[in-house]
Amino acid sequence: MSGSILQSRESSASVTGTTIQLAFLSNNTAHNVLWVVAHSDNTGSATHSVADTLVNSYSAALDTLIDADNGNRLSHWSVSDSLAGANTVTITFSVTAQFRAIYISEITGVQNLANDGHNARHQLNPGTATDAVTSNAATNTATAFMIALSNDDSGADNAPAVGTGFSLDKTAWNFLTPGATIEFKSGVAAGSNTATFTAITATDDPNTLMAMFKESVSGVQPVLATSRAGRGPGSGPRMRRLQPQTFPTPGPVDTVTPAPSATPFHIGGGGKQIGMPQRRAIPQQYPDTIPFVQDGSATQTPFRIGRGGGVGTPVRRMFRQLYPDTAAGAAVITGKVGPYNWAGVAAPLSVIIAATVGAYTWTGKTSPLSTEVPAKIGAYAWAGKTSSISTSIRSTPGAYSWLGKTSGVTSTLSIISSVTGNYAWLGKAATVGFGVSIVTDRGTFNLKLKRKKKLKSKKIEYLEEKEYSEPQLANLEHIDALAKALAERGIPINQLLLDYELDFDEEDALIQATKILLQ
Amino acid sequence: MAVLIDSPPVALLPGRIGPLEAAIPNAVGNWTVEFTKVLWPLSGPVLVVTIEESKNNGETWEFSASIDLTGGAWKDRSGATVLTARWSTSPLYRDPNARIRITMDISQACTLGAVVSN
Repeated sequence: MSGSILQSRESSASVTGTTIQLAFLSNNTAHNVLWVVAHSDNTGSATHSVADTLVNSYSAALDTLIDADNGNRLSHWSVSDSLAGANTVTITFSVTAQFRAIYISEITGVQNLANDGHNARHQLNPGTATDAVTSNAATNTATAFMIALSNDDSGADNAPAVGTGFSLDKTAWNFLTPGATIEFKSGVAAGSNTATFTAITATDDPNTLMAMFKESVSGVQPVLATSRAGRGPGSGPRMRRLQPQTFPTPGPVDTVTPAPSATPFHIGGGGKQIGMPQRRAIPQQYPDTIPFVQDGSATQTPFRIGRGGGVGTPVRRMFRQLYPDTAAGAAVITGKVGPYNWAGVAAPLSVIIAATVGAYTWTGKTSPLSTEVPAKIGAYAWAGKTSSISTSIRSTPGAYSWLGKTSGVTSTLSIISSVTGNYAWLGKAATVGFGVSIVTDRGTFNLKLKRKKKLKSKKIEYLEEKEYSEPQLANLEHIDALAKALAERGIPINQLLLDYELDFDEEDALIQATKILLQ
Repeated sequence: MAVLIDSPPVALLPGRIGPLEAAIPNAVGNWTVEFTKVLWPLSGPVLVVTIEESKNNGETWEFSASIDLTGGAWKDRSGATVLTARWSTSPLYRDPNARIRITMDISQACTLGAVVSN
């Protein structure tokens, strides 16, 4: 089947401004190609950027064409694998610009791949000869669908006529009168090709942009867009009715009746029997699921083929042709991690994050990162990630210390022993009893010696009464006298007295004082 | 061209004008909004104009297109200063029950007129 323009719209405004928005008439269909063109005057050298409400991943500008003769700028982009749903495209101009314009189109019947050749060209008065208005040549590697826009920026706004062999999509950009023409051609053979138009007057100054997209190998695009009104509640997944006669046995499929829904197919599940009776004899030869198709839409579900339904080989081949990049989910995401990342697509990322942790960090993705933190501790620290880092601190205490991270770092004495300096200075609390580590790190932890109290002497008890005598009590007057005598000799006894009051027996005090006097 | 909505130049203060609504049955060609300015800021955002369309006589509305207008001079394609400018867009619906409505969100005072036609 040939490529074709499923829908297109255009808008233009000569007033000054910085944005222009345009909605698609119908919901975009998943996996179709979108092609968008923007125009403005180039007085302020306003650059153009594109985005849409489906958050599709747009290519970088395929071409940016600056018309120095008349001071205009044109840019074009494509989405190779559109998401499904209602969609509004916005062109943003970096500074206030006049003569803003936009053209949006949805192309079906082409592979959901990047463009297969593009080019742009400004011509000053190319004349009115047939096909004298051309893009520059571009080389396509396979049979392609070509779409092109040419705008007369001379100021006369004479939309050129379509070139030989091309079909008209529409005229557009009515600043005064329509000045642009959009044309297309399918079945463009591989090789060097140009888009051609024919100017209306000899003084027209056309600016032409062209892009080519590979047409589907099997010539089938799975579904048609649905009307906006038809997307309400109850318009959920539908069964596609396949046409048995279009599937030779064996062999691939070339045509299929388009389903009126953008939602994924669900074939055979739940015991439903669909089409292709000639293939029901061999369902057991094939896995019961087609690998997951990651298109980034939260509403998309994988295809399931054959479970309970007995759908056989041709269907599987057909889907593979329609979706050449389908693969196991992890593999698909790996290959498209960048685009999916920036498109804010939710996906099972645990595997991917391991390989692209940096990118996901910066886009604010959340994921189970606990296992990654030890290996990426620096990056996550700066991104404010929280994680269980108790084990990581052991090996990288410095990094977390200086970032002020809090974590479960109440640690055993053995850890503090090995990194005691860092933790001590951060005011970390640790349980430190007497032990080897405190001996070696006593100063760091500012530990104080405890005063060891001297045990009082035990009172002696005599068993035989005749031997018993009351212990001699020290005469306080003697103590005072001794202290006075010592003081007169310049011998300090403050500590002695202090100890006497606190701990010493009177007897001990007398003994100590006597020893001092005898010295 | 048939005039669908005519809003002659009036002083507009910050706030919302509209939606102003009209039928646009079986539209032929684009709908256009012709702006005429009388007092216009020199710079900065002035207003955002939004067009919505209905194909069921206004029972439901769909966003169609939107542009913003900023301050400064308007020029025509030859570079001459002008007081009128055009916004032209292909309609969503070419339907017997189609309607169109326009809403203007003004952020900076100005005097502006707008005529919607098809």
